[in-house]
Amino acid sequence: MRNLTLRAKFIIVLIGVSFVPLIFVSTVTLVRFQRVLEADALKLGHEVAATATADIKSFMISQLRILDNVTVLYHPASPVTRDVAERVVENILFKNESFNDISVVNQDGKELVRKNRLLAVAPSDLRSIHDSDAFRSVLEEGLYIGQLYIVNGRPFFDIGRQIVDTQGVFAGAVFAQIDARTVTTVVEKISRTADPGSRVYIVNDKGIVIAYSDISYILEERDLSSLPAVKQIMRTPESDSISASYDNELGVRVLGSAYPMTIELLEPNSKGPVLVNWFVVVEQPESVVYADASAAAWFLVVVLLSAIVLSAGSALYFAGLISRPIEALHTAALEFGKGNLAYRADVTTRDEIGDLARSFNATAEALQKTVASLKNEEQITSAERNKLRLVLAGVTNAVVAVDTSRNVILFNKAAEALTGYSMREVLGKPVQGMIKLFSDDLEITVDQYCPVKSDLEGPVFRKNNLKFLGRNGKEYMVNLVSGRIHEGENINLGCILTFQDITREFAMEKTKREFVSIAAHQLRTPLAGLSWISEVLLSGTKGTLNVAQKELVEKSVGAVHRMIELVNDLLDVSRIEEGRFGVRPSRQSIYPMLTRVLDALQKEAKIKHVTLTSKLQEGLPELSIDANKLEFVFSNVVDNAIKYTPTGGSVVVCAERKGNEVVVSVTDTGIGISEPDADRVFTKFFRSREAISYFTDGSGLGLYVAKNIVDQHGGTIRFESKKGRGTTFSVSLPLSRSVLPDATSDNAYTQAAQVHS
Amino acid sequence: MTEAPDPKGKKVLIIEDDPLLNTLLMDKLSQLREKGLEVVLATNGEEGLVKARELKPDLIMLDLVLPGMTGFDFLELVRKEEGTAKTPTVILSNLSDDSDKEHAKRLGVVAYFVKANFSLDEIAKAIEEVLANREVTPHTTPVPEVKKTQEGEYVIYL
Repeated sequence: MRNLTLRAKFIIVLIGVSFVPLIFVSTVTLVRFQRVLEADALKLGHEVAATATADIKSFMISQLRILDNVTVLYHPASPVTRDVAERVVENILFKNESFNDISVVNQDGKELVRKNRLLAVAPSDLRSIHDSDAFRSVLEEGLYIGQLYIVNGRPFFDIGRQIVDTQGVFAGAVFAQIDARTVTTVVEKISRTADPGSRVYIVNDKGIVIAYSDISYILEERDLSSLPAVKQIMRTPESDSISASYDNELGVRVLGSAYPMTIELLEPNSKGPVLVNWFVVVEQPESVVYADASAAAWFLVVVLLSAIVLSAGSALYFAGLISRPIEALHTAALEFGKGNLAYRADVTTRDEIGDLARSFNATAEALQKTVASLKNEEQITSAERNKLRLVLAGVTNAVVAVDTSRNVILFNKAAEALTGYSMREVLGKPVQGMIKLFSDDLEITVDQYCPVKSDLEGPVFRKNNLKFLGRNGKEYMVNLVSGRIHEGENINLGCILTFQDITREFAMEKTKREFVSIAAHQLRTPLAGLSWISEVLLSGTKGTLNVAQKELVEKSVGAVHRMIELVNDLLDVSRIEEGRFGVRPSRQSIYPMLTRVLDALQKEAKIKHVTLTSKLQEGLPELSIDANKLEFVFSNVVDNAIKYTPTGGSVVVCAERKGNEVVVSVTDTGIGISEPDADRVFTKFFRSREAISYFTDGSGLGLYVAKNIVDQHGGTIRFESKKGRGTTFSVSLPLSRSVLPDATSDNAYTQAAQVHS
Repeated sequence: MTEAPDPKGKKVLIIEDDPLLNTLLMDKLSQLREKGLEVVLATNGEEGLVKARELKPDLIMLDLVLPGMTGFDFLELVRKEEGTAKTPTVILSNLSDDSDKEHAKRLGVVAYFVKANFSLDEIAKAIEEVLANREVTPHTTPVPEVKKTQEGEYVIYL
């Protein structure tokens, strides 16, 4: 039942609900009807039996009454002669066909007269019956009814009665032999009144047929005691009736009823009623008895069958009405399950299932939309991922991402090339297994470049010019930036390491450096020669020069020195651009450096007739400075001031503390710098129009290099100027702040590293 | 600057491949040579090595860019020989990179001259000073004195 479809269940339930009671009621009705029919049949049988009994009784009585007529023979007042007696008996015999033989006996049982319908009875044939059961019965009971017997193929039974005289004194008895076929006639008559096919017969107390429509039964003394009805009534003769259903000896299914045939003959002289122990049996074929019942049963079957057809049809229809929407829902759910999200349950009914289907469809609609949007989102995410992958594959930097346990989760093509490991080999493996980093032969550990616990965001480690040892022992130079993102932990992202392979650049830089060095060497060597030759010439050891010669040689010295300075400036610019122009600071006073600058330039100021003075505040604190480099700065600034200040002007160098800074300013009364050029003063090779028109020499590199040096000290260089009135250059140097790390040494840009510095 | 000591008996080995500069240097040092200073020239590292072994000079003036082995190569070899391991050495080169200067410093040079930035006078004075202070252990010499500061080129007396 559990595995049946809803439709089947519906049908079963509907049929069960409609048929079981119907069948029950039908059966009950049918059984009742059958009982009624059976009762009717029994009643009929009863009536038949009663009629038969009554008929036979009246027959018997009529026979006995007839025999009564012999009483006249015993009238004491008029005793009859033998002849008369014989005539009387003869008369009775011939008037009644049922009698075959009549005999009259006296008190002692001696036959007085005897007459037979067919035989002549001689007086010698008269006998005494004094000892017979018949006489005794007559004597005691007043009546006698004997058993059936066959003589010459004819059935007979004897009856007898007492005869009393007119005074009521026992006078003798009369006996008659009765043709049993007369009884059969009664039975035949009654049988005809019964249903066709029925039979009525009489059996004696032994079950032997004594009355039957077919005489052969009687003659054969057919024993029917084996038939259930006969058998039972024989066993309980006192009961009113017995009925049973059985197949009789003819093989006919019958409803048989047996009744004791109680014939009470009560004579005036008899002591009590005489019972005849016969039984009337009425057998009615069941086919006849239950003909109506079976007709009714057939009718019921037909009715039931049509009811089955009808209700099965309606069950199917109603089950369909209910289950079709459910099945439609089921199909929709299955389709939905298969991923056909566009499928809708086709249910249009307005009942609860219809509501359910509409809810289902609404849910499906919403789900479809959600899925569509999810798919869209997924596509976007996937596209983002692919984009990222493509970007990562395309970048020349090696990118390695690790999870919070520092196992590799991302490894791009460049990382494969750098490390020599393939992505498949390293995914999920500890990152330190493939990253071997050295800074000045000191290994950098994973804890340094990817600290486990860090609240920091953005770059957490940054170091340049690291040696990277590849898988095959190949060495690379790399710059490393290691970063974290704020939400990293949520997506199990530890660090993202980006390696910039600078091996080639490093080699190129080295080559370039060597080239510049060689170039410088090649330029400087002849310049040094020229310079020294001039020096020798001017020293006079090779002979004294005249004034004109000396002037020419001095001009030559000036030209050579400018060339040397130009080479030096170019070298500095080259170093600045390569990031190799570092300062090496140490804590010291700035006085000696400033004094050296002032001393060195006094001579030039004097030559130009410009007064060079200084106002140095006393007690300035020591600063962390690279004195050589700063000397270059101030030499440049002061030298410029002198150069661009007309004769009679002044240059003042001031040093004073201002807050957390020491400010050195150089103020001149020179030509000034015009507004449009102000922004470009510190750019390389720049010279203002005023400077060019005033003084054609100059590389335009001095202030560029100077600014670089000041910047590396963590200071600032700026100027204020009024065209034609003068300029003030100010260099501010911080008191406490450490100088910026040397750009050529590979110290950290990282926040972490700065904490320690 | 103290009074120039007597250079008699002192020996200087100059390793310089440029003939013009050699000529000028020899010319400049002629006064000292007249006072008894022995000046020997070598034009490459190999020659310099041989002469350094023979001469056991009191001072070596060394150019860095040389045919064949470089000045640094020469210096490393010289430092390995017992007789010249501690010979005061002055670099006379037109290389001026910090890395070169530091390299030289590591090899124990007492002064570094960028030739184009110094006059013969200054070089000669430096030689005299070094010869006068030869007992000074190169590595422990205090405060470097800056002789010339323009463009960050400098000479260090160690």
